[in-house]
Amino acid sequence: MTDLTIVLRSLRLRLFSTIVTALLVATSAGLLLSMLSLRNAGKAAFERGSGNAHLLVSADQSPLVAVLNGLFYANPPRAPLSREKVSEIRRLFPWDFIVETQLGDSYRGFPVLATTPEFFSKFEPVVGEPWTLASGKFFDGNMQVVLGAASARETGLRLGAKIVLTHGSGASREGGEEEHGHVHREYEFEVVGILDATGSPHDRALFVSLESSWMLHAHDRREREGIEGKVTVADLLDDDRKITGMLLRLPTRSGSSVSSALQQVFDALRRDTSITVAQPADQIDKLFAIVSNVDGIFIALAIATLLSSAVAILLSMVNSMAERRRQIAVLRVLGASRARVFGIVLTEAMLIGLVGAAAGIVISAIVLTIATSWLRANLGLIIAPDFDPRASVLVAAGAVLLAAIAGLVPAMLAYRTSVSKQLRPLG
Amino acid sequence: MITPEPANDSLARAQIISKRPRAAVDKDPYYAPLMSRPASTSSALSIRALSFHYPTRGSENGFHLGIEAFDLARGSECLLVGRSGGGKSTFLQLVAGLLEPQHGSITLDGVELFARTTNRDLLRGAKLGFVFQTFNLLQGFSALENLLVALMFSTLPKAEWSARGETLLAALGIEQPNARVEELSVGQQQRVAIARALVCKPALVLADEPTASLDPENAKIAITLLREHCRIEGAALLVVSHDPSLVPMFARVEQLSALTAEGVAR
Repeated sequence: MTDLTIVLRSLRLRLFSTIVTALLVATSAGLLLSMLSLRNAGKAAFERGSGNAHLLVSADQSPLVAVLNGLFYANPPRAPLSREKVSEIRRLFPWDFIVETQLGDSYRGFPVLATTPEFFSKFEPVVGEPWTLASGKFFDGNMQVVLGAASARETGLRLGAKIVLTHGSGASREGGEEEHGHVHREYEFEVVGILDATGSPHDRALFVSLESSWMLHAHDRREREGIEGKVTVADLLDDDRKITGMLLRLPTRSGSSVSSALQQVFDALRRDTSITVAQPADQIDKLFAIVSNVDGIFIALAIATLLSSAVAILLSMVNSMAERRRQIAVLRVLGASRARVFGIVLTEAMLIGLVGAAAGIVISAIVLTIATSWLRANLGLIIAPDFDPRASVLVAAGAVLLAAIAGLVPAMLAYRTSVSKQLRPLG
Repeated sequence: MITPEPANDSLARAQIISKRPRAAVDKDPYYAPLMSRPASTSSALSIRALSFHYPTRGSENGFHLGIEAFDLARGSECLLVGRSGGGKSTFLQLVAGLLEPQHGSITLDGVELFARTTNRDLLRGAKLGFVFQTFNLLQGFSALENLLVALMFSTLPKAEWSARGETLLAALGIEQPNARVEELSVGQQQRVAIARALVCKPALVLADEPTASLDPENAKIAITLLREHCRIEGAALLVVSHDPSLVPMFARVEQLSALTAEGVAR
C-alpha cells in the first residue's frame, strides 16, 4: 500500500469522471502534437524537395513561384529561357553542375520533367541522398522514361511499358488525356527505370531526356510547317532547344554544402531582369514564414484546448471534493499530514494529465496516419510525419504541469479539510 | 482506578466471541501476548490542566472544556459518558491532536502531544487507533486495504503489514479480507473498523459512539470485541458514548462533567 495506490483507488471510484477528463486532455494533447508534427513534417517535406542545388533560374514571375514550379511541379513555367541566356549563365562561373530542365508535358496528370543525365548523376533530390533505382536504369537515350516512386505506384506502370505524353498539365489521373490537351501520339516512350522513393515532390514526376522532349515539340512545329516524318536529333533547331529552368550548384569545400561565393553570384544573376533567380532553401523558409502564421493560429487553438482541459480537471476534482472530504479526514485521523493529503490530491490531478497526455500521443499517431494517407490520396502531398520524442515529451510535460496547476485548488481544499467537521460535528 | 481483569478471563471471552475451541486459541500466535503480557502500569494517556475554548454562534462565552487531570494506563479502559453537546467528541479530538488546546498538556504514551518538537500526525499514526460511529472505512478499498492504509502511517516494518492485517481480520472473524468494505455487512464493517483501530499496535484506542449505528445485540458484540482485542493488543481503550447500556460493561465510567474543573459548557 502506497500513496499511489490511494490515488489510483480514488480515481477508480470516480471512473467515469476520470475517463472523461483524461479523454479531454488526450484530445487536446493529441491535437497539439498533430499540429506540431504536421507543421514540422510539411516543412521537412518541402525542404527535402529543394535538393542540393544552390540556385534555380527560370523565367517565372518571382523566386517563390520559380521554386514552386521548378522543384515542386506546381505549374509549368510560363516562359522558356533563351539559349543565349543559358550560354551566358554557363559562362558566368565555373559551376559545380548545371542541370537544364524543361517542364510542360504530363502523363495522366503527373508532371514530366525533361532533363539531362546530370539530373541523376549530380543533382540530389535530398542533400546527401543521391538518386537510387528501385528497378531498371536511368535513361541513356531518347524516348525512354524513368518513373518517380509515387507516379510508378499510382499509374501501375512497369518496366517495358510504353506510354505517350500529353502537352500541358494534362488530364486527371483517371485518364481522358484527349479532353485536356494535345497527346504526342507519334512518339512512344518506354519505361526503363523506376526510382526509389525520396519523400520529395520528385516522387510524383516522370523523367525523360531533354532531346526527347525537344523532338516532340519539333514534330509539332514541323507539322505546322507542313513537314512530315519523324524528327531526329539532327532536325532540331536552336529554337526547339528550349528549357524552362536551370538547377545550379557552385563548387564547395569537401564535406560542406555551402559556397562562399553564393551571395556574390546570386547578386550578379539578380541584376539581369530577364530571368528570375532563386535560392530554393531561402524561398522555402519564406514560404513557411507565411504559412507559419496560419499554423500559429491552429497551434494556439490547440493550446487553448489544452488549457480548457486543465479547467475540466479542476472542475471535476473540485466537484468530487464534497464526497472526498470524509476520505481525506479519515486519512488525516490515521496519521496523514496535511502536506501528504495535499500531495495525494495533486498527484491525482497530475496522473490524469499524464494518462491524458499518453493517450494524446496515441491519438496523435492515429490522426497523423489518417491525415498522411488523406493528403497523399487527395492532394498528392507526400508528408511523412515523424514521431518527435522531444515534442511528445514537451507536450506531455505541459499537460502534466497544467494538470498540476489545476490540481492546486482541490489539493488546497484537501489541505484545509477540517477533520473534526468531516468526521463528526463538535459536541 | 482500573484493575485489569485476569488474562484467563479475558481469553475466555475472546474464545466465546471468536467461537474457537480453547486448544485452537492456545496455538494461535495472535493470542500469545495475552498469555504472557503482564498488566502494564505505564500511562497511555495523561491529561493535566487542559483548557479548550472556541467561540460559538449565538453564545456570548462560546464553548469551553476544562479538565484538571485524567489518566488512563496501558491496557486499561474507560467509558466516558455525558450529555449530547457536552464536549465528548471535542475531548477525543483534543486527545487525537486534531484540536489544539489553549492551555494544559496531553501526554500520549509518554510523549507530550503539543510539544513544539512533536509531530502530531506521526504520533497519531503510531500511538492512536480510532473507531467511529459510522465506521468511516475507505470506500472502494478492501477490508485488508483499509488496514494497510492505516499501517502506512504506523511505525511497523512494511514487511509485517500484510501478515499483521490478515491475522487481525481473521481473529475478528472477517473471512474475506479482500472483499470491498461496501460489500460487507454492517457488523463486518464494524469489525473491520475495530481491526483498523488496532492494526498499528496503538497505545490508546479512541472510540466515538462505537455502538450508535448498531442494534442492541450487535452493539454488545461490537463493544465486547473492541474491549477484548484492545486487551489482547495491550492498548488502552477510551470509549465516549451516551448509550446507558454500555455502563455495566465497564469497570471505570467517568462523567465528562465530573472531570471538568468548572463544569463543561458555560
